[in-house]
Amino acid sequence: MRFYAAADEDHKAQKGNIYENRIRLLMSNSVLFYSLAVLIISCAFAVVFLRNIFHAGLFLLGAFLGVAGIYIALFNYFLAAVQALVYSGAIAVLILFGIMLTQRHYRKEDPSHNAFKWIAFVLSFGIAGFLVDSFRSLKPGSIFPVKHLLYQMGMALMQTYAIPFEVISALLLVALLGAFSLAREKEDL
Amino acid sequence: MIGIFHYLALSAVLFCIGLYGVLTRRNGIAVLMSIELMFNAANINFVAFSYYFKGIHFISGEVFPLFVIAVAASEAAVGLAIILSLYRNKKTVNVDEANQLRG
Amino acid sequence: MNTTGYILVFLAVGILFVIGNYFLSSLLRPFRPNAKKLATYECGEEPFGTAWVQYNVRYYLFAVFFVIFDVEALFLIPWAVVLKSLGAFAFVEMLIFLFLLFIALIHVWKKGGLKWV
Repeated sequence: MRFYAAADEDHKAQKGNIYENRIRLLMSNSVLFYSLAVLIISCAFAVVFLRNIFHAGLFLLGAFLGVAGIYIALFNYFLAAVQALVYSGAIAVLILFGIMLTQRHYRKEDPSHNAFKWIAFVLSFGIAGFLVDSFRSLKPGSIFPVKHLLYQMGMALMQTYAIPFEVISALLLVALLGAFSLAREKEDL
Repeated sequence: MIGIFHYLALSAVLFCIGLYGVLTRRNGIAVLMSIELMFNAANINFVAFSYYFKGIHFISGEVFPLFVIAVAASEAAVGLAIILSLYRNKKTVNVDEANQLRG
Repeated sequence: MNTTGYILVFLAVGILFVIGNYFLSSLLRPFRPNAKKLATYECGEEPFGTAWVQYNVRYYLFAVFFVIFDVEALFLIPWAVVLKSLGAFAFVEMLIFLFLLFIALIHVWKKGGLKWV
């Protein structure tokens, strides 16, 4: 394909980027991955277990930022920026707005989880244990650094995934109109 | 040394925490938040596979999270609008109490 | 010492700086609270009610518009990177993309969704 060849030439032209190498050295260290993993998992536990829904929303923000860190560890800086901007900047704010709009009838004594919580606990964490155990036989895998990832992503988005790209536009249209007509006050329907 | 196993394990655990939240939370907004956690777990999987196993179509794994993020944004917007509408009509956000359509 | 070491030292010094300054100022400052001092600071206004008032649903609508057009902007960035090498094809693709969202914007505008009442 054409764009791989072009990116390869650019790769040769920009050999020996010392800054990139330094970050790569940093990320190969496991301290960063484990601290990000602890952040994400503890924030996710807080999201599903906390009674106060507003605090759960704030921990959701922390989990999103941790996932942005994971994207940096995987050298996709664009996705990390998108994660920080769209997930923590827009979707988490939207969810916090939704929480603030629905808090008037929040009663302290109501249970926050339903009656199936022990069955669901065993089921979901059983699945997690099974999955992690089955991944253990995987080889570490070899890393091929890619230069100009954003360029290649744009090429794939515009050529290989042209149709899904347009479908996303239609999806956003439907979501905007649907959310608008559902959330509006009754009188101006 | 961090390999593909670590990312897959992180993603699996995150997914199952989200699954637990979807199955058990009574507040509809909390269910939506758990779904967002599951979306994030899937995205980590895509990017990790694309980073460690580079085939000819490795770039798909880097592009697909963009689509997932767009779908997640639409889902959050419409889902929260449904919950707001439920709240306006029944003064509750608990998904257990939204049972008017039950036969 | 490698780069991770520098970052860890930076983190430790930053955390210690904050904690140490709080500790030092707690040794030095006087502590005489009263009701006026403990009141929530709202730029000189008298605070009333709790922070948990019912918000208007219009805030939510504008947040939805922000989210949708934020997602649109995220697709604009990879497009802008490859526009020069792909030329008219990518341009037409993005025109279709923007046109569909423009229809949605016009519809919302006509229905009065952008007015703040």
